[in-house]
Amino acid sequence: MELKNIRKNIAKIRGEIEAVKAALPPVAEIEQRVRAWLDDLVTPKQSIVDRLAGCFSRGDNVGFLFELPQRSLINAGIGLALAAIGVDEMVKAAMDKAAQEDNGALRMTAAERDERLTGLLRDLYALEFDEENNLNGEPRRADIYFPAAVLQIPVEIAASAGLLK
Amino acid sequence: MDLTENTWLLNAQTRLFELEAHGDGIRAQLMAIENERFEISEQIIFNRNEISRFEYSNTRSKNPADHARNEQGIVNCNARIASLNSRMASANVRYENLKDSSRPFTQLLEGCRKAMNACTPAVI
Repeated sequence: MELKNIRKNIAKIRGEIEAVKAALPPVAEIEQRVRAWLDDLVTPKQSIVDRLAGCFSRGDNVGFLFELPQRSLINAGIGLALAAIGVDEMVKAAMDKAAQEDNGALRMTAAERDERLTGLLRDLYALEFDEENNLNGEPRRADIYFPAAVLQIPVEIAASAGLLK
Repeated sequence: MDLTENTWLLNAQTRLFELEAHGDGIRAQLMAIENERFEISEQIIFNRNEISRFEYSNTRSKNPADHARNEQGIVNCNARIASLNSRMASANVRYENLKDSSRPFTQLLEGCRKAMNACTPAVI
């Protein structure tokens, strides 16, 4: 392959690598994380219910909520508000809004991203390896990704030394 | 280690030596400019001392001929300092330009050294 074409392919693959690195997780994966976080926020509701039960059963001080430390009070407030709205409602509203904003960004699971990156990095290594062989007096690019390819270290050796990342 | 089975290693080492030699060349150029800057600064200091000497001589002598000679000496020294400052500015620009333009190569060389270190133990 000619140097010009090799460099064109290198630029293309580097663009793909950047895109894959910036890929968002799938919506379902994010939803799971969001739900887990919101469920955590709602947790104080149950402890408040438990303590309110003590007001009925043991005559505990009704104003206990305001005796909580400020941080716990804030958490309790958020938890109660969120419980009133409902986690499902909140997630649905957020996902509806996200659907309107969706710009078609690339989405991949962590495993998919790793697999794709591994392949792309190997391709890039092979291209930079070829590029070095086809310089024919042309100056080297300033932004070489794999110095090992400049040294013409075979891809398998570079991979086993952990250099292909 | 059987080097005949690892021609890539010899090849890589040769390439690294070539890159190191190029890096040495850049360092030598930078050092030459540094030396030049040092010499210029020494000359600037010398001329400043000369001016002080002429000024001191002026305070000690009442002879108009001495004064005229000292004043001329100060004028000459100031002219030399201006010229030296200009040379220093030029040397500074050359130094920074060379440093900037060689930075990608320096980074590549560093990357090559690391790659070589990472791969060599796998063979030995």
